[in-house]
Amino acid sequence: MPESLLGIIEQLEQLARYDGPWKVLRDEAPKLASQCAELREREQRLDDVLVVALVGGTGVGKSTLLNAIAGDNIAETSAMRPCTAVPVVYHPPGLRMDFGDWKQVPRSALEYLVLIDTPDSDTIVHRHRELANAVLRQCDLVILCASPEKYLDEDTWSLLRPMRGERTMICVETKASEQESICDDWRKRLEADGFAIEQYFRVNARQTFDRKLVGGPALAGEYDFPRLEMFLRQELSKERIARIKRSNAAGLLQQIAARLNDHARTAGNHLECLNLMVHAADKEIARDSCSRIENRLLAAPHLWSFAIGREISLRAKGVLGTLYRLAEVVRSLPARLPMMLTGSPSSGRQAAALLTGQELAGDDFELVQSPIVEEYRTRYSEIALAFTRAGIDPPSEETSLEAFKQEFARRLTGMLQGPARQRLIQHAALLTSWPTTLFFDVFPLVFVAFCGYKIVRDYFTGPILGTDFFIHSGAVLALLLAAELLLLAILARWLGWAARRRSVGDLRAAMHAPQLAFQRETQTLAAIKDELHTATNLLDEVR
Amino acid sequence: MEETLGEALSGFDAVLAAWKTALAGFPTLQARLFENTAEWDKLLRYKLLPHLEGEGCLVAAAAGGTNTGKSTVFNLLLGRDISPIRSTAAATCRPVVAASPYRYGQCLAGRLMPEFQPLHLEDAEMLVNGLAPENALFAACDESLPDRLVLLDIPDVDSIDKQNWEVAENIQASGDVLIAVLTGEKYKDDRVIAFFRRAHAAGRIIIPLMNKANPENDFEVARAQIDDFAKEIGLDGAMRFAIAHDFSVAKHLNAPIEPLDGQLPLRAHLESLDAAAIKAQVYKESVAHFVSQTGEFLDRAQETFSSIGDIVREIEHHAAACADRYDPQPDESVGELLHEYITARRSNFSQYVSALGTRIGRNLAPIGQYVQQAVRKRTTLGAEPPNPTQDEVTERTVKSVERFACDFIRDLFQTTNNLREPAKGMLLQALEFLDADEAIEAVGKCMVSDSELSESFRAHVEHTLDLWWEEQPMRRFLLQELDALLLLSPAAIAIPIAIHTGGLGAPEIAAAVSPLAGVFFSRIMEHQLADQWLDLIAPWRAEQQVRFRVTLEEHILTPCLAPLRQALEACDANTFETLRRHRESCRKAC
Repeated sequence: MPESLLGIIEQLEQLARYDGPWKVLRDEAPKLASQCAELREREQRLDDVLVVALVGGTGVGKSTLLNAIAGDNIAETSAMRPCTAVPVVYHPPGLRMDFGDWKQVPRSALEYLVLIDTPDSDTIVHRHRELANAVLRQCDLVILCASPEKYLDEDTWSLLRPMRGERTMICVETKASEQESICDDWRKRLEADGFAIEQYFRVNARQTFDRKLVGGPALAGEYDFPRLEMFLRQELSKERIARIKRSNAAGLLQQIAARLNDHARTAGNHLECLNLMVHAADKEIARDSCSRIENRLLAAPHLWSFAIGREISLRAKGVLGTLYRLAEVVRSLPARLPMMLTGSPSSGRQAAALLTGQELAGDDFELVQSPIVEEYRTRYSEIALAFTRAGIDPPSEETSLEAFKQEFARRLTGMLQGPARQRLIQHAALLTSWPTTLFFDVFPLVFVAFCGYKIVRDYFTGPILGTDFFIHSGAVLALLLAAELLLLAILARWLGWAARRRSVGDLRAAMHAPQLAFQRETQTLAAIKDELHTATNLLDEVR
Repeated sequence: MEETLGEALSGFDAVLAAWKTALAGFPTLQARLFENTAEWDKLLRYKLLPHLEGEGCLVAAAAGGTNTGKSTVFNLLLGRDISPIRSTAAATCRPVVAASPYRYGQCLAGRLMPEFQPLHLEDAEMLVNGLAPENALFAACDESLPDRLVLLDIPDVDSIDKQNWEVAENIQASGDVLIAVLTGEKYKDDRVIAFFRRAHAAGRIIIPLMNKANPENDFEVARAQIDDFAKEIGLDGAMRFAIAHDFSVAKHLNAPIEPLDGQLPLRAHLESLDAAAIKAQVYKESVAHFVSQTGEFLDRAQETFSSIGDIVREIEHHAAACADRYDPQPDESVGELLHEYITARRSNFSQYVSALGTRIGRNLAPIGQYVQQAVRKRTTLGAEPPNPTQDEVTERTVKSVERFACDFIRDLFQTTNNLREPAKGMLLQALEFLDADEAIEAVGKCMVSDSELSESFRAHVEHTLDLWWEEQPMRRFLLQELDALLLLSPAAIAIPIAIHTGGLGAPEIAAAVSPLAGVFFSRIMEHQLADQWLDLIAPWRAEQQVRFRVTLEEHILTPCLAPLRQALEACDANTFETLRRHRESCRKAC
């Protein structure tokens, strides 16, 4: 038990340090912290002496009882009320414990016990009540003293009520006389109010004290006093003391656990709802973002032709390749000119830059379009309201939105720079591979060779070829090259579009992965869930 | 006209009752407001109102802590065994009255202590078993008692059975003389002292009696204890009595209760008291006590209500702040206004040309748009978002309004959490009942339901532009020149082309450029007016903000603040005034 108790205390202390967004626990923390301190103190004193407090209303004879137990006049008694103003600590000699300015009498023969006579719980001197409370907090065992007149006094009961279950209690009826005992009524009432009573003794302390001063054997008028003395001297063995202390600590723990459990249960329901809500909103935002990117950013064929055109120009070989590069320079001019001229590119040109492997400064990143931000803000408002209703502070809109923007940009960039770009490069490589280059180059080369052969042959054999031959063959060559160029351009465009179709699939997968939006909110909920988990685990351990 | 005491008291009671009924729906507020008012309320209901026409009968009750022997004292006073005596505490839980046959009859008829339900005491067990109704008063007939005195035995004031306190307090309020039954243990208990201190302050006559006293040295200890007690509650010169500690006392009921100061025994002392004078005095002091207590109550209540009023105002202020933050974006209708104005300022000729161009251009517009889009697509490498339709614009407005409303509700929650009770509880409850989604939706709907520009705003725009137009003759002239140039340039290009091609292509050019001229012109104007743009639309924004505020008020504030406002209504300044007036009359009357 001690090890596990320490563990529990540590966990509780961790909970008590909580300063997160969960308002309920934050409000609970100070109380929890003070209870943790108490628990820790109790845990440290687990092997120490048993501190017994004599508690009761004014004039019931607490001091007389202490005197009777001690057999000496150690606590002041009087007929005038209230009498005891300072707690009297009666303990075995040589005990080292800090009792402040309370009156100490180090003469006790009870080895494992410290008896404290408390001031009255019900006088008009309100400081006495505070002192009594202080003693109660220190003690492990309460000897509740009462007379027939006082056993139902609300003042004493209200003092003890908060300690129900946290202190072992013993009832002592101090002014037993020939009148009927109050035992049954008292016990019945205590039990009805949730007090657990270990032992019940009926004594007449004054009689015993008088007898002890004179000396001699116990008399009949002392009722249960010998039994009480026996109980204090012998039955309160070391093991029993330890058991009492443990059960007190357990009582306190139970109380904490019950309270935490209440919070945990309500918070559990809230969390469930909030999680669902955040999850739904996340999905919604993902769907919305996805469709917007698909229909706006990635919808233009020019983006893909531009990107694949650039890749091809980088790799193009041969005659037609060179021609294509030249044509590409002209064709991409409208797209490249503003890119060179202006500093902040549009999202389309940003996407093009990403697709073609250029680096972008993070600050200029404006891939998230304002309609998506608007949508996000709306959702955020709803979620924040739900959070506040459930008693959880939502993360601020700026941090939430910033996190979303970053995540959004990360996913989109990842897709554009990763699979989409790879696919474009693959396609470009296909078009610029040797066989393709050869395929495209072979026709013009063959034609040129044929023309050359014809020129040479005619030079030796027949009349020299006329100008119209050169014009015609030049025209045919140009037409041939133009047709091939067109074919290549169409192929490039088609492959670029094909890459786009596959990339849209990637995009959907990337965007629909959970936690695109409302990351901070999800994290907050997860953190609270952890706390809840700790609390629930504690509860099980305590049980 | 001066009110009589009776009128004032019953007036006070009536207003208070009406007030309580009005606040019945707000238990937290009621509890808060009427905290610590039980004492004077009881005084009012059990003493001041019913005993207005006092019959000159002295009501003496044995009061004190549990198990101090109140019933024993009661029985001793009567010399008979009426109230059952138990060794256990908190036994007597209903009051019992002993009265002469005449008073007994009166009592059963409900005229002696009208606020209690009189019951004939058939079985003494009824006093201790707690089955009788809470306001029951058992009556027993005792022939030895004179008509001018009735004796009561009442429950304790300090045990854990709190309903006993209640009964004791009620009797205390309606009685005249209290026999403080004390013991060595209880004479200085907090609760006992507090009970008698209150009773003494309210004008009750208190006779201390030390029960179970030590008779040694002529009750020396008991005397000291009683003096201690008397000092504590501020009582001086009281008669002191004591009963020696003796378990058999209950068996010798005929023994008189001896005084400590050598005069009449307790019963004789009670009988010797001048009933009418004491009654009058007690009544007077009760009224005085009532007046002083209610003054405090009225101050506190007024303070509570003014704090509630402050909270309501603070929240209204929040709503106003939220509305101020609301930043509506002017939609097309505002822009159109500008165009209208500019078009109206063009010269007749320009208007004619531009109308012609527009008419031709309308048919050819798709071609122009296609060319424009094709160029733009190649430049931006992205698909241009289509121009938002009116529905989309509306939807966007609705969303932004809804967001504001949502944030406002959140703000309300946060404000509420920082408030003090009872306003906090009332507001939280109202907020719990508020269907946030519905309210937000309603606000959104309301804001777009009627987006017509108001006449005053139109006038304002007109006025601002007029001023600008008049003040900048140079710019105006340049603009008009530019406008003419823009309108005429297509014609200048088109005419030579038409001469060469026989009319081919000229209308196309005219059609493509002419409508653009109008747009160019408007843009230039807008740019020129940019620094005044905010001022220009400020009234429109203000109008929208006011509308937003009214909508918030209607859909969110009204349901949320309803309880607070109702509470405030239930208790206007008038109520306080009336209560204070009645109180003042009471004060004067005594």
